[in-house]
Amino acid sequence: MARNAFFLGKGGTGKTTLSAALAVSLARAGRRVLAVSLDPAHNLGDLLGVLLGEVPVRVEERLEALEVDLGAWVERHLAASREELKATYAYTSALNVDSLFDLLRLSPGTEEHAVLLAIDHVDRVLAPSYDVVVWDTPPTGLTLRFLAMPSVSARWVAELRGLRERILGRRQAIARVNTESAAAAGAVTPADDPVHARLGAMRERLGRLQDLFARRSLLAVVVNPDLLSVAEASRISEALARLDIPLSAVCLNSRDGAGSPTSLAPPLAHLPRVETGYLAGPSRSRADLLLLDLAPLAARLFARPEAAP
Amino acid sequence: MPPSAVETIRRALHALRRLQRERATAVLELELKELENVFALLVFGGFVGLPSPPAPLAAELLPLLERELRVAASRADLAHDPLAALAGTLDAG
Repeated sequence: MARNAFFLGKGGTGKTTLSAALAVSLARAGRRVLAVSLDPAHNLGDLLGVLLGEVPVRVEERLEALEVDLGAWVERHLAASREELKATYAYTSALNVDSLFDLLRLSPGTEEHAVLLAIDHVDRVLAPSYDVVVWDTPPTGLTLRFLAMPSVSARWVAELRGLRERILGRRQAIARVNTESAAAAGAVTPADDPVHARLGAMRERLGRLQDLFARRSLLAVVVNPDLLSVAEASRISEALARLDIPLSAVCLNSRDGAGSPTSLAPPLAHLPRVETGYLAGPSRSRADLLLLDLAPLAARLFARPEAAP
Repeated sequence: MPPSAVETIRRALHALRRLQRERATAVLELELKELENVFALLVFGGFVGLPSPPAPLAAELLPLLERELRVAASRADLAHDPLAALAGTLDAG
């Protein structure tokens, strides 16, 4: 199973640069690497010098990359739901399906859900062909929301599943006594109930994502020698702690050569620090990315026990 | 031709048995309807201003919950006087 590395941090700290640098250095060290951009700004392709799309594109030997099109994932998700609704409610015009789904597109959670569908797809379908998947994340707000969503949703699904089992229990009891009761019509056991099955599938998907974020990934927060990026990194660290997602390292990316902050605030102080050095001026080629020292981070990535498939 | 006496007694016994079964499950059926109502309210509460799961989860379940939505709509009719409905089911008063 592939190892995963996520770079988080304030916009402009160098998440994309470090993602690209780690991906290139690992590929040149003999690992099969997939670099995935979740950032709507999509600068990863610019850095790697390749036009990226939704399917993996070869960057160089052993290195492929893709850009997740969040808009397309939202549309795919809504189209699938719309088709299912149309099939179920074909006989009635009472439900204004199209307008409902126009609202869902704008509703809180849809964008995070689309990110999670994309991550799940990469993790299940594409990642098994690689040794490492390096993820470049979107701005902190969206990143924290999609990292939080599996655990929040999993709690809902667990409660709904419990309630569903109570409902099925009552239906079973009624069906045993009065087979003609309309209340007992339909599924009476979890095995027959499509709602219970759907909740089970949701639980499995959410569990997979929780496992990916909390146990199968190295999460590194990137900071520059400035107060704002360090403050945001501290908030990220605290938010992840609330979600039981461990942060593995702080990358001090001194892009402008101004030096590293001499001390980090307590939420970050206990984390391993990786001093990446800096690129003097803009990166001109992929070889420039190798000037950044990410060997300690790569060592941490491979020091982790490999997750069972 | 009118049914025979035996047939009439058989039908009466069947009706009696059915009545007994319905009386035996009436409270369970009420509880079941309330559980289904609560299930629909929990999943789709966001549409009427209640706390709800993330909208994509509700959308994923929506196509499968026709029955629960019907129950929720019918329970809404009783919402102005739920005690009367309960008393009717329990044959009280």
